[in-house]
This record gives sequence, C-alpha cells and structure tokens, in this order.
Amino acid sequence: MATIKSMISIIITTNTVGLEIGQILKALSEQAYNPLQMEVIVATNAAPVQLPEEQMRQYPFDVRFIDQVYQNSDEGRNLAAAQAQGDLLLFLNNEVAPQPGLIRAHVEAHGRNPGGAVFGAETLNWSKSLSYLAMWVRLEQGRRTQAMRQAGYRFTYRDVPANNLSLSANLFSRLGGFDPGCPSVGDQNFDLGLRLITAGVPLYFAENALVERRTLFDTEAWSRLQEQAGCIDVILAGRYPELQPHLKLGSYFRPTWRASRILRFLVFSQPRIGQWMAARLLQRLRLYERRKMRWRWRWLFDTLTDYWYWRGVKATLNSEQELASFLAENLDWLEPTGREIELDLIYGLDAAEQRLNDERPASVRLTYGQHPVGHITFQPGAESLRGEHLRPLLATNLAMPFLQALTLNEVLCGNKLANQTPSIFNGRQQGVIYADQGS
Amino acid sequence: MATAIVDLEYDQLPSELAGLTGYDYALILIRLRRRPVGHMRLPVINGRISGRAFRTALLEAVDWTFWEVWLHYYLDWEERFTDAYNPPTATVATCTRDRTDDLECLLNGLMQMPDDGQEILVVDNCPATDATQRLVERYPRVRYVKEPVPGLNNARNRALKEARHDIVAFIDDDAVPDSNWLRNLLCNYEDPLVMCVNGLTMPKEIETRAQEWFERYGAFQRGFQRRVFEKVFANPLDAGVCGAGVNMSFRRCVLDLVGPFDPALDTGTPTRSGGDNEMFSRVLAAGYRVVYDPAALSWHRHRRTWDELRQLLYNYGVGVVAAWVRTLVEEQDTNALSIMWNWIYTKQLRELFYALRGQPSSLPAELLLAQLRGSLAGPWAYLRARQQVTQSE
Repeated sequence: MATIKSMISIIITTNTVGLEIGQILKALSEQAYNPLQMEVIVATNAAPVQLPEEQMRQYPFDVRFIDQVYQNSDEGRNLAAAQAQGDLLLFLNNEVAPQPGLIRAHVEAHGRNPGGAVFGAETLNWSKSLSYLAMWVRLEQGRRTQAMRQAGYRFTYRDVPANNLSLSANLFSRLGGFDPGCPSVGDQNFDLGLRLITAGVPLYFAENALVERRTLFDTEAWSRLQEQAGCIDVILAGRYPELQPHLKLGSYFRPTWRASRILRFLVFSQPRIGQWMAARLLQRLRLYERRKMRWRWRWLFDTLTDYWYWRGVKATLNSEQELASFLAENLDWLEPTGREIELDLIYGLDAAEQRLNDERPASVRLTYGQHPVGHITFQPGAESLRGEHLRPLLATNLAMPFLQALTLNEVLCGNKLANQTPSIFNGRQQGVIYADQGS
Repeated sequence: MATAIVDLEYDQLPSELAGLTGYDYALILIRLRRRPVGHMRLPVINGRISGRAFRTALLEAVDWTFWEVWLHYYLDWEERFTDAYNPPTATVATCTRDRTDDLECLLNGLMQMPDDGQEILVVDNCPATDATQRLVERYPRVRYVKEPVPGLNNARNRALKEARHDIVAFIDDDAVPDSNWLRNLLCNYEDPLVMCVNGLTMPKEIETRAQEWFERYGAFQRGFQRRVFEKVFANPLDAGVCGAGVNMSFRRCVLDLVGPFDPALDTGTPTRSGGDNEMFSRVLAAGYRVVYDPAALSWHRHRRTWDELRQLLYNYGVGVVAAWVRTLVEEQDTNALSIMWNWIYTKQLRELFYALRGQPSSLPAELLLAQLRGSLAGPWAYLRARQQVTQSE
C-alpha cells in the first residue's frame, strides 16, 4: 500500500516541442514530497540534454537520462520504467508542467485506494482571449473533469491518460507496460485503458493532481491528433471487436451531413482533392472565427475533424472496400459478453448497491416489484458496474421508468414505500426505456 | 385586481386556502423540500380557494421539475456537486440610490439569512443625501461604500473591486432574498468554468394593475428548471434567458477574464438598462458557463404605478438594443444585427400586432409601444452614453 514514505519514480518522456527539461525538474524540486523518496528518469529519444553540472546538483532527487532511441513515447516510457526503482511510477511528458501538490496527491490517492491506477487533470486555460479551438478544448476538458469528479462516475478506457498517470510498478509489470504497437493518441492511451479495465483494476481520479499544459494547441496539432485517433481505432477494432460499434470507425456507412459524406468519399477515392478541399475549408474556418460566426465555425470544425479522422483510418485501410470488409469481419464477434444479473429495487437501494459491489456484473436488468425499470446493457470498454453507479443512473437515464414503477407499484399493488410517496401523479404511460450507456 | 402571494411547501399543503379576503387571485409558489418547483395562479372566491380547485390546479402546475426534484431526494442524490465540495464565502452586494425604504427591507432580509461568513456591501451610487449612509450605519455587519460616478454599472464595478471574497452576489435594493438564497447560488460554483450564477425572482406583492401586467410580461421568470448555459458556439447574444440583474452573482475574476460591466450601459446612463444581459453575453462568448438555479430565490417589489411600468418597458427596449449595439461596435460581432432584427420583428412588431387586434393573451398595446419606442432609440442612446463615458475619462 502506498504511503507518504513510498518511493516514487517519475518518468518523463520528451519530444522536440515542449518545455525545457530544466523547468520541469525545477517544478518537481518544489513539490512537497521527500526528495529522498523520489527519482526522476528522463527518456529523451537520444536528443541531447544540456544541463550544467551546478544546476544538476541543485536537484535534491536522483535524475537519470536514458538516451536510447525509441519509436514513440510509449516505448520510451517502457524503457524508463524498466530502470525505475520506485514502488510507484508516475508518467509525465515535457508538454506539461507539474503543479504544486502533484506528487503528494498521487501518493495519497494510492494510499486511500491501493492496487488501482490514479490519474489527475490538467489545469484549465484561463487566458483572456482564446481561439475558438482553445475554448472548445477547454469546455470539453472541463466537462470531462467535472463528470469524473462526480461520485458514481463509470470510468471507461477513454478516460485513462498516458500523462499524469500513476500506478504501482508491480501492476505495470503485470500488465506488460505500454504497447508501442498501439501508441497513445495525444495524452490518451486507449490500449492501456482497456487492459486496466479488463483486468478489473480500479481507476481513481485525483482532482488535486494537476499539471499545466504549456504547449500551443492549434488546428495543426488537432488534425494530427484526429489522424492518430483514426489509426488507433483500426488497431483497437482489430484487437477488441466488441468495441467496434462504439468506435467512430463503425459509423462510416451511417448517414451523415452532406459535406462530411463528400469529404469521406474523397479521403478514400481522391485523397489529393480531399486535401486541397480541406485546406480551403481550413481557411474558411479561420474566416468564420474572425467574423465571429460561431455556429458555422462549430459545424465546419466538426466536418474537418471528421475528415482528419478518416484520413487516419485510410493510413491503415486503403479503400472503402477494405474498410467494409474489415467491419464485416468483426461482426461475428459482436455478441455482448459478461455477466448479467437481475436486481429488484423493492428490497431497497442499499441492498441493490451491495449486490452490485459484490457481483460487479457487466449488465443489469432492473425491476421494482413486478414492474420493469430498465436494462443497463453491456458497455464495452467501461468498468464493471458498481453500487455507486446505480443512483446516478436511476436519477438520470432511468428517471421516468423508475418513477412510473414506483407509482404503479403503490397504486396497483398497494405497497407502501419506505419514503414518502407523492399522492398525485401526472405521468405518461410509456414502454420500458433501455439505458443507452454508449453516449 | 390584487393578487395574494402564497408560498407553500408541498409536504404541508392545507386542505383549503383561506384568509384571502380583498384579493381576486392568488399566485401560489409550490416548493418541495424548500426548493421552488412550480407556481400557479388561481381565482379567489369569497376570500378562499377550495381544496378541490387547488388540487386540480396543482396537477396541471407541477411538471417534470417537480418529479425530478422528488426523485433526487428519494435517491439522496444531487447532480450538482461532489461530497468533497466546500462552497466559497461570498460578498453580497447591493447597488442603490436614494431608496432607503426598499433598502431597509433588503437589509432586514439579509440579516435573516444564515451567517456563513458572507460580507454585505452597500454601494451608494451618486446619492442626493446621506440617508442611505445613515441607514447602513444601523447595521454593524454591513459595509458602506459611496460610488460618486453615476451609473448602475459603475456601482457594480465598484462592488467587484471592493469585494473581499471571490464570489460577488448582487441583489437589487428593491428585492429581498429567500433564507437559502446565497447558499443555493454558491453551490453552483463547484464547476470552475461557471463564471456566473443567477436565481429565480418572484414578486413580493401584486397589489396594482401595473404589477399584475409586469408579472404577465414575464418579469424575471425563467422557469423552475436548473439550467447550465454554454453558448459560445450557439448564440451568446441571446442571454436574456440566463437570468436577470436583480438576482445574479459572478466570480470576482470576471473583471480580469471577461472585463468589467460596461459603464455606458444600464440605469443612470442614456441606455437605461441592459448592463446585466450584456455581461451575461460576454461571459458566454468568452467560453464560460452561466447557471440559472431557481433554488436561489429572491422576492422583488415590482413598480407600482402604470407610468412607472410604461417607463420601465421603454427602458428595457432601449437597454436591450443598446447592449447589442455595444457588441456590434466594441466586439465587431455582426450577429448583433440579426438578433436585433429578430427582436424588433418577432418580439416587438408581432406582439404589437396581436395586441392591436385585441388578442386576449397580449400585453396592452400601450406597453408594447413604449418598448418598441425604446428599442428604436437604443442605438443612439448607446452612442450618446459611450460619448459621455469617453468625455468623463
């Protein structure tokens, strides 16, 4: 179990764009954590790091540099982790600056929740004038962070980052580390997330474990990220076929708006024309921003995001036919897997939550006495259901059917509820509603 | 046509409502576990409302909000915040000018609120006498600040600068807070992207025809459903739905991140109103969130006389358009033109047309004409106000 005396190895991977390693080491030396319990390993991909001797002596912890060449950051992380001596491994990169309290927040989270994986968040960008893209990224980031802070949030593989992530060295070794064959998309490593969830490793969000992004995030970086996402989705769909319907990859043949349809078609059939069009549309995007045409900007941004994603897919699957065959191949694997249980909520919410904690099913059919409430279907890539997940679902996705069931049970069966029941009901009769956990 | 204001808790509904002699109607606010969930307006017959009439109306008045709140209490679950959240301490600020009677009611109401360490600040804007200062001296917990430059937005900016806490909750001097008003505002600030939280404002009294019509106009009603507005890619200029300046709050850092209230807008300037809506628009356009939470309830004394009401609607017309002109001029946002056109055509002219045709649900044409005249005067009012501000600087 991690304590404030645990030895922690901080593994930093660098790329050419990012902070000087000296700035990150300075931020780490200002952490309120015993430097004797820390070591820092920097994987530089053979890029030279020029730090003067006097500066190196100032750092109170041990710093080592790995100058081997590697293909991508995940391989660099594995190389560094192999040399780490700490009980805990904390992964960072040189695009973010550690904020005060980062290390302590990770260690304390492990102390409260042993055997899990802990990840933190990025501070939000509070600059006064932001581009529309930066605003959009900030809103998305804020939305995700706020959702993860709520009790009862159900983590998915897409929540697991490769940056600002900590787990025990033993666990990392058991899982086999990062897979360089399925690299990270930006700061997210979906493959590691899936392996953590499949292995039943609990995930924890430490909201005080903060890093600050210092690198510029522009449309060029965004387009590269989307292309990576397209490539990785092909790999994920091949390795985890049950994910396919939930990936964007599986939506290629579904209806979409005209501009997207045209661009998707061009990606596979006339890529050069597609590139030319995308470049023109990018100029149009900048014009919309200058003229504050917000909803048009958003619409065009979504269209271009879609285009870049499919360009990434094309890097692996060269034609529409190949894509169609790939998707068809995996259809046989699309049977839901995992245990399903039935829960009758008439025995009380506490009892239902306890049963979920004991059995951790993949899906649940909920009833209230004789009345159906809903079906929480299997969600690939999401952690198994826990008791904490129940109330948020009943309060939101299943609110209407649950209320109907409560009232019908009292009216038809005359059963009194433990809590007070309203004596007036103005509800509408509806069929059973199935919770859609994919959205 | 006086209307009694009745505040009822659902768990303690009476079998009938009596003691309403002298009133023609009753406006009944329904609460569930102290949280407002709906309201209804019922005729009073011989000073009472029968239980049957009351319960029939209740069936139609309560909507999904009621059931949602009930269900959340049943499940002991709250969407808004985590267990670990500690709401911040706030500064309650009211900007006033020579309205000591109303201010005294407000201060008495603020003293009734639970003391969570909040600061109470009165900003006296360009007063004619020292009556407000002498009144505030009777309340040791209240701090008095004089802002000599006329203009409600100047007073608001002064409040933001003088405040000692990170959240500043504004309440008008002719309003009175509900006991949990401040707590219900502050719990929405758990989300760091929320820059502004507004509450529900109900009428404190409806004794005159003018107050009746103002309430029918829509007044400060924004519904009973909590809403989070994120409109940076929709239409941030359409910010009237987010709330009203009578009951609003901001993070202090809004001064740095978004900018101060525009001193060319609102009461005390040629533009007469619009300062609150313009600020909501700017907060939304900067990519932050605005929350409307009806649980943060306050009670407002509407204008009593017909002349005051007509003037008020004229002022609203001026202010709404002036705020959009400001956006067009200062932010070069041409979306202001289309929203102005929609406002004048669909809201103003169409409603006026229905009123002139005598449609029963319309507002009196006299009031709509006043608002329309104000809208047409808006652009010039803004330019005059901008000139005045530039000259005074």
